[in-house]
Amino acid sequence: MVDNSATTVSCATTVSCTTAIPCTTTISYKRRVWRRFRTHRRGMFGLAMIVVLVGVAMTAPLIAGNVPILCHYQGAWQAPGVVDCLRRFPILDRVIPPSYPFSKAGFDAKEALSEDDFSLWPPVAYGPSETTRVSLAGPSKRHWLGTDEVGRDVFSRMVHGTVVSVQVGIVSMGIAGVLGIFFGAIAGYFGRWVDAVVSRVIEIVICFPDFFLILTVMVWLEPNITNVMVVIGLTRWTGIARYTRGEFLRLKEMDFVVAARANGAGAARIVLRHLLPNALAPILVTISFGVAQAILIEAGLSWLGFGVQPPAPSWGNLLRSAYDHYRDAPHLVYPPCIAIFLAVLAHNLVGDSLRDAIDPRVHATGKVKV
Amino acid sequence: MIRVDTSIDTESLVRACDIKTYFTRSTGLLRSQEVVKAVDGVSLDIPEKRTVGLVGESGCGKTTLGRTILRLIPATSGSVVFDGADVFSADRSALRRMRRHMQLIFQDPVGSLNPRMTIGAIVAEPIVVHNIARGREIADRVAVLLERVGLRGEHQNRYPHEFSGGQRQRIGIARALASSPKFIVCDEPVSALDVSIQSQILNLLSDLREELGLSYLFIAHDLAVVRHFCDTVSVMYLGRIVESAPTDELFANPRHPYTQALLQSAPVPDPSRRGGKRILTGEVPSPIDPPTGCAFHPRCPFAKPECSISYPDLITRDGLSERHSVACHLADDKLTIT
Repeated sequence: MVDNSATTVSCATTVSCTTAIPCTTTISYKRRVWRRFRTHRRGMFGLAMIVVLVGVAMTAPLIAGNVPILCHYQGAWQAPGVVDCLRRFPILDRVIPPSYPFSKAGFDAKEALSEDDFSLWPPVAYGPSETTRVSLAGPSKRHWLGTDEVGRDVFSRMVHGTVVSVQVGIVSMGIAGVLGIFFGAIAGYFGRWVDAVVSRVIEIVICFPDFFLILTVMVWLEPNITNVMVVIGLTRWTGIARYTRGEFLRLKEMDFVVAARANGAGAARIVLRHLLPNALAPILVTISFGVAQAILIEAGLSWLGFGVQPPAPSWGNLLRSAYDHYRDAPHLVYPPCIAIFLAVLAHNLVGDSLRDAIDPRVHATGKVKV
Repeated sequence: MIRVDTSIDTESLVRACDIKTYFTRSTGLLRSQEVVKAVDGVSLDIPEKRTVGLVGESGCGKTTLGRTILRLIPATSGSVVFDGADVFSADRSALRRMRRHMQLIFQDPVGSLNPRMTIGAIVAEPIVVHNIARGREIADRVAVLLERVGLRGEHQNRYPHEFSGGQRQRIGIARALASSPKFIVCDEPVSALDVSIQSQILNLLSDLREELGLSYLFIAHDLAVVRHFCDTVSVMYLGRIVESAPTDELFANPRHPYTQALLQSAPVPDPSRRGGKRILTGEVPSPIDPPTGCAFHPRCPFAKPECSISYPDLITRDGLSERHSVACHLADDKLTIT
């Protein structure tokens, strides 16, 4: 095969092959973008933070929780922490049974397990809703970030609050992405009256100040995380739609699309094989900025009391309760603030670097070599 | 209507009749409509297994005409008969079947290949769309096609950016050949390439023409290329054909002042003939507001009052063969630009 010999010997030219092509292993568009992205330090920093954030959200009960990760209880090995962790995912919660008796309401694993029983606890052995007697305490070895007004561990609440932010980011932008790409695609591809109608709808939606629109809607709906995610998704799709439309308008005039039409390719083939794959990278950039926005909106809603309802933790309502006790325990304000700031920053950095990485003009100027 | 008759020796495969392609665009606050007459009444005959050249300055409507014939741009009026069937009135499925036999090669070797698809997928597209082969057979056919245009069959899973301009043009040609067409519109296929590579691509196209019995509509602005490659040549100016003749005759005896100017301004590879005169002055007028009468009259050194009043018919003239037609009021005067 060409690929094997190619690394050492330059490609042997066939008689009619005009120029030898560099015979390294073939590089797809995705890999080229990734190579360029990797050279952006800020982008990689943002990506690392997102990975940490998602990692924390996925393993929250193993980082902070009131049941042991692994223990020997009444003569049997159990892993209630792991079970809790897995049961938070859809489908898995139907497959894996809860670990008895740890999941029972009011069961206190710390008391039930004696000194002799082996038990491996999470680094912070407090659940997000578990109360202790010390309220508004400062940071300590037990409570890394202190406790709140009813004695709940703030670190534990922060970790479990991450889940909300990550969920909101993924689900609301998933909804917005599907809507935005769909409407942007039909507007850009079909043009004419379809474009006119979709564009007017987008303009109307944009006219509403979206935070207040969401706030108004949340007043009428039951304030829970599902509604927050759906409402954010239903109002934040316009940016994605406009971007998709623009990309489609640009791409559909390109020669390779004309070639596809000349071949008799149908609308579905042109959209799915030619337009969408080429538009996807720029759309991802807007989605990445959108995630940052969604996290901010959710925090704002929860802060105002229209988002995630206490005692369920979210960064927004943690900040709210910290704010209410600012005079007694000012240190409680910082963790949610910093977390929100970093999460938003991370997504913005990734969006920025991704935009540079997919732009072929950028690497011509910089040190970036592909 | 005047018909350019170039179909003496063989039957015509493509017969375009009085094609008009107008673009309208709304401008300004008051939504006044501007009409751009990109192609304004062109008739063209492309005989089977022959190559018709189409030359003219950029912006004269060559590309639009080529794409209108393939029904990639909707025509305002006129008709195209391809292989006995009307292209413009064909329904969706009939058009799809027709598309199998008429193809397009592009000028820009970068923009004509989807950067997200492998070469194999690009060349296979016509085969897949027209359901010509299935499964492993597709890859085999693609390999044969790639080898036919001088690339390697193994290159199938590479991406376009890994190839040079000439190689990408070969890939474009392989794609055009994939559905075994009869007619290919070559839209300036070599203008974007180095001279050394131009000749290779032209030789490839010419070999394919012999081998597969293809007909080409060869759009170009390089007269040397056209002379080398085409059987008949039509010269376009501002959306219309001003002169049409068999290649040798056109080059030996150009009768339209515009054709003469074009031929004289073409660079000659002879260092002793330095500093050719600049015959054509001024710019091509805007097709939004073309000059009245003969569109060339503002730039024509021989223009007479009648030239700005009526448009001359494209007909054969005294002393010319019947396949040589000229649209000029003064064509019978045998004027020549010197």
